[in-house]
Amino acid sequence: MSLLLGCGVCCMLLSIWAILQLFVMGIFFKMEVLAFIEEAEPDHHGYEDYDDFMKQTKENYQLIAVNCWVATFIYVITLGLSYMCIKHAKNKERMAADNVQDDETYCRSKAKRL
Amino acid sequence: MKGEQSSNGKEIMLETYAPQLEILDPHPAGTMFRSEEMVLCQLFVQPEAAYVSMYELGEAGIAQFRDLNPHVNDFQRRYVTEVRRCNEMERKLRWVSGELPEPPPPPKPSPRVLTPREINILEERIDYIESEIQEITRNAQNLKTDYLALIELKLLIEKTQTFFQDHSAHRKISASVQIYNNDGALGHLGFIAGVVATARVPSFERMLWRISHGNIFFKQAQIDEPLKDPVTSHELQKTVFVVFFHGEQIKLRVKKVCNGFQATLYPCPATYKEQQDMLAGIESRIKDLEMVLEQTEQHRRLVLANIARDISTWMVVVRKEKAIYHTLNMFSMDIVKKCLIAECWVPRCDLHILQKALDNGVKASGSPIPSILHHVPTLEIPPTYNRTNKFTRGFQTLIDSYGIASYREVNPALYTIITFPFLFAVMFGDMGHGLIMTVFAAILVIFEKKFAKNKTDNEIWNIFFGGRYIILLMGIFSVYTGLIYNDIFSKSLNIFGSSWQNVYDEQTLRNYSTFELDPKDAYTKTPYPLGIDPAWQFAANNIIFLNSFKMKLSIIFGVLHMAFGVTLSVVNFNFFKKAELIFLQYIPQILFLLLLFWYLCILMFMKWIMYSADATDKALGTSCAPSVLIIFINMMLLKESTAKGSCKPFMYAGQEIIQNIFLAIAFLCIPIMLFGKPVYQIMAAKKQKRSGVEGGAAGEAGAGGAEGAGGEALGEVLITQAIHTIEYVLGAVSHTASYLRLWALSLAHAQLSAVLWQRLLKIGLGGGSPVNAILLYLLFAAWAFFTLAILVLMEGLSAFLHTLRLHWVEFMSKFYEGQGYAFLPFSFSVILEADEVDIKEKPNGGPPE
Repeated sequence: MSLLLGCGVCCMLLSIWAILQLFVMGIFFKMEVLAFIEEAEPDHHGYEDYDDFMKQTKENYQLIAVNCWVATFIYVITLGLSYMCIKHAKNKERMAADNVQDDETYCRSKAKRL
Repeated sequence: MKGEQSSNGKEIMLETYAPQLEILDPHPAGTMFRSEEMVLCQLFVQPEAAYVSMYELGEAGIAQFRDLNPHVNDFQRRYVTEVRRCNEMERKLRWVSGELPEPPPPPKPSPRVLTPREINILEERIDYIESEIQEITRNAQNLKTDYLALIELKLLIEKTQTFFQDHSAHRKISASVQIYNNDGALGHLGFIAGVVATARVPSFERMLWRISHGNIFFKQAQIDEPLKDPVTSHELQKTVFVVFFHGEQIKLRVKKVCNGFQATLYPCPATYKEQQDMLAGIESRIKDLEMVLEQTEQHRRLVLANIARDISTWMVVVRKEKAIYHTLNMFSMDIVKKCLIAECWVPRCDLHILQKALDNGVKASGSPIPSILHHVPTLEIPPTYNRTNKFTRGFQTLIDSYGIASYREVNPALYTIITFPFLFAVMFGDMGHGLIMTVFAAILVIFEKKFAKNKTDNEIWNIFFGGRYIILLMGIFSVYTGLIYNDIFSKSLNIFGSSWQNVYDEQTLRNYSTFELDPKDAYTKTPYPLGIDPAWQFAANNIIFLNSFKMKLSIIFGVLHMAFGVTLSVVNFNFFKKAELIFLQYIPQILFLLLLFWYLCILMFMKWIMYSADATDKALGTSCAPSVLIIFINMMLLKESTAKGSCKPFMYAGQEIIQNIFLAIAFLCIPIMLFGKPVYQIMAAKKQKRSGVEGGAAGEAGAGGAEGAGGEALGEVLITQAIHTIEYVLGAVSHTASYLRLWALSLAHAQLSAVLWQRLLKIGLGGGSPVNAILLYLLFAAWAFFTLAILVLMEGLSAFLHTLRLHWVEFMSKFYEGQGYAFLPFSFSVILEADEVDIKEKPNGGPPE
């Protein structure tokens, strides 16, 4: 039971971090920030001349930015799923606690089991 | 001197510990600068007033009582019956709380002290509750035993129906049974039916076979579902058996064997009709019993629910009472004056609380004789007490783990609040990881009240939660050093615009792939305002440059930290009125450290300032910048330096002379360190002896004794001083080098961070179709996991450990004595917390349901 809760909390924290970081990274890629040049530049022999290099690099920047935002969106879905997981786990715990509280069910089950 | 009463019952003596301390401490109470001044007090209390006074002192937690009856057996002390009574009550309460189905609600704070009469009433009530619950449990067990018997009988009849269904045998058997009612008779078979544990069936059968010489017929059928033992709630596997035999003798033997194997025998009717009647009867009885069991269980739960509200409060009351009586047992009884005498250490600032507690006790008991508080001047060493709040407690614990400070020596924990996170951050500098640490610690701090409520055994969580303020500060400082190192998850931020520019024309750029940027041309002459220039992240010589920078930085921080540590010893010398040691120990030590290692740092500063790429004088150009380490080594070895090419042999005019002078002074400091203090002690002893001789014959005997003892002590002082000097001199070198770990760990951290980014996250940032976004999604999770596990947790722990070592060994060995013992006051909160750790709430016996 607390395994589900633990999983849910971990996924939620990871999702929040991922959303923040991937979103900001997407913006930076869109702005063609120089720090990410090594991620965006084409392979060592994948271009013919300077203009081709520049064109490919700019293209890559935009593509990676889109990728980052798509990944952000998938993490938003994960965030929602993890939130539902946590709610479900908490509900189950509450129901089990309520069951123990209820005298009728508790006593009957205890009596039945000899 | 003792027990003189003045008009308001108080008498205060002004003499306290350390009679040489004529001036009262000018610092106000409760600072972290040094530990608090403690006073040894003697209390004279009437036994009636003692209980209430001790209750208030337990709540306040200000006094550490000394055991005045150390040789008395625990069972012969004065209040042993009260302690025993409290133990009984505690045992009963613990048993009752074990019977509760779920953990009880937390205790409510009791508004006032309970009088002994009220405690008697509580004891009776606890007694009554315990006996009531025990009776209910016993009844329930009896009912369960009956229920088990009925169930077994029902199962027995159902199973044996198959045995009796053989019609031919049925008539013969039933005929004999009907007439003889299970008593065997010649020529007819009798039978015995019962239930036995399944595990025993093979040996049971074998035994029956042996004793009857094979003249019995044994049939068995196992009961599929396990039955529950009424007392222990264990599950039992049972088997139904029927033994057919012929004759009275065999019947007796069979019955004996059944007894031996603890098989329960039941009267089983032989005819089908009788069996059905019996079954019907049993069914109705089972239903009735089930209802009764249910009602019993409900009644029990009701009783327990009523108790659950108050049980924690009672437990707290009983534990407090037990603690009070334990402490009262430490008092000694004055038979003549009929009052209790206690000795305790109290911080001077809390004396008024002690007085108020005594007065309240006298008022509550209505005794006409007031309690007396009396200071005792003593030469014993008091305990060390540092008053801390939730923020400073973590840092104080770090220091106390190395050794409790000697009484009233300067407390390093105050400076640790800043130096510890700072040195950690120098090794951990990364904005991203620092941010993660800060957020984690901020969550712990913001919700600290909620987290403090759940008391867990999980040690790791307790360690992290206890150190939340330390982690918070470490995270904040790490963000700052990350800003300076310009490192966030191994990437650099370009906030202000780089100060490096391109100097190559387009043709050169297209034809070649690696370039050198000479700072003479490529540097815009205005430095990057804060931190390392972002251009460095693409440089191939990034590591070489940062190595030089971080190493020099580490040495500078190290020398500053150590010099600060040595200077703190002046505070101690000043406070303990040993001004001569400032000249005999501090001055030589600090001169040795500064003249050698601060000179090294000054050389570093000079090298940074004097040499540059665009210097007009070739001797001040980059190729002529000397290695500071080589200069230092040459200085120590008195080696000559020669000019090479157009470079000068020395950095500045007169360097050789100045270096030799520094070296000479530093080496002259060593004999002063070695012999200064012993020589001073000899001279002081001689002066005492001379004044002793002038003082008269009595003084001479004393002084002669002192000189004899002084001779032995002199040898010891010399050896101790030699050890300290060697430790300091060698330590100055080795500890300075030890601070290079600041460089080493920050390099490792930066490289690990870069590896994780390039090998994990960069693969996901490959661009291409949006399907790669799924790859990015997965890789980000992996990268985040490894960042947390390796970089934040492992590296964080490692940097924490190294910072702790730097503080304990390199910093505190320069001034810290650490020979004190902790102040452990009589405090209810401490005792209740310690008890809760031992006593866990678990059900009484039996497997979990």
